[in-house]
Amino acid sequence: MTHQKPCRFCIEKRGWIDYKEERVLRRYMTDRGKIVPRRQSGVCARHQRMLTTAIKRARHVALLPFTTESVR
Amino acid sequence: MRHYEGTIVLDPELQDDGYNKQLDRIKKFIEERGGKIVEDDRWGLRNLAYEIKKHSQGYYGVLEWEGPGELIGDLDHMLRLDENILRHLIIHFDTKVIAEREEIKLRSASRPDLVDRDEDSDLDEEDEDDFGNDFDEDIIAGKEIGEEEEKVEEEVEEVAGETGSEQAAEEPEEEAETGSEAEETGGSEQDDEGRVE
Repeated sequence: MTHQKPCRFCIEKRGWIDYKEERVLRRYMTDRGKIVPRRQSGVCARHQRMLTTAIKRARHVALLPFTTESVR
Repeated sequence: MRHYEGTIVLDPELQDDGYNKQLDRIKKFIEERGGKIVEDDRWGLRNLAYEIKKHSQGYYGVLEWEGPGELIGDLDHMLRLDENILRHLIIHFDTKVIAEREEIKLRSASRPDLVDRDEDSDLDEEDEDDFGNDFDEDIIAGKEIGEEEEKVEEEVEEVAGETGSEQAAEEPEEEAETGSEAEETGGSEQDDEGRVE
């Protein structure tokens, strides 16, 4: 299997990932709140960049956690 | 004229009244400086992902406007000085993004979009609303995720307390289930294991 599956955002032809789409963004975070590397998620470079800025913005306005450790 | 969006997180102690007043004030400020409000989306009280100034909840308001860039500096300054504002974020949209957002709205009305691809079908209904409306559901989703995490971690701790190596092999599986729903979970198991230790 050499053929790589295209990234989900590419299928959707997305040019913008909104930081308010919390549900989508959570999918690309580990249960500890880290951003999933694209080698695991299969997201392309372009969309991974959008994803990271979106996640970081969402973190700033407390829609997403920086880490789940701090709660405990 | 440039297109902006600002998300503002307000102190929960303001109550509904103060929250609306505060946002109206911000709106007025923008309008006075030559901005034109395009959208005003008030989510209301929502759980924060982490504590800010000892608050675990906050009032969220999202404003979208078209206006001159000179306004932003002053607005930012104003928001920064206001102690009732826990967080704010102002973002500039370029024209491509605006076009795309419209398109997404139209698309999601006709068929379920990316958001709900592998979730239950009953969620599709929510997605027909514009963005603001499905956030109430998001809060619930967020809570659930949080609870699941806790459970998993408790299990892991217990397991670690009893015996080391035998059951350690089970941990990655458990975590992989609840963890990131990434399609290729190959590497994530390793990652989880590493962090548990």
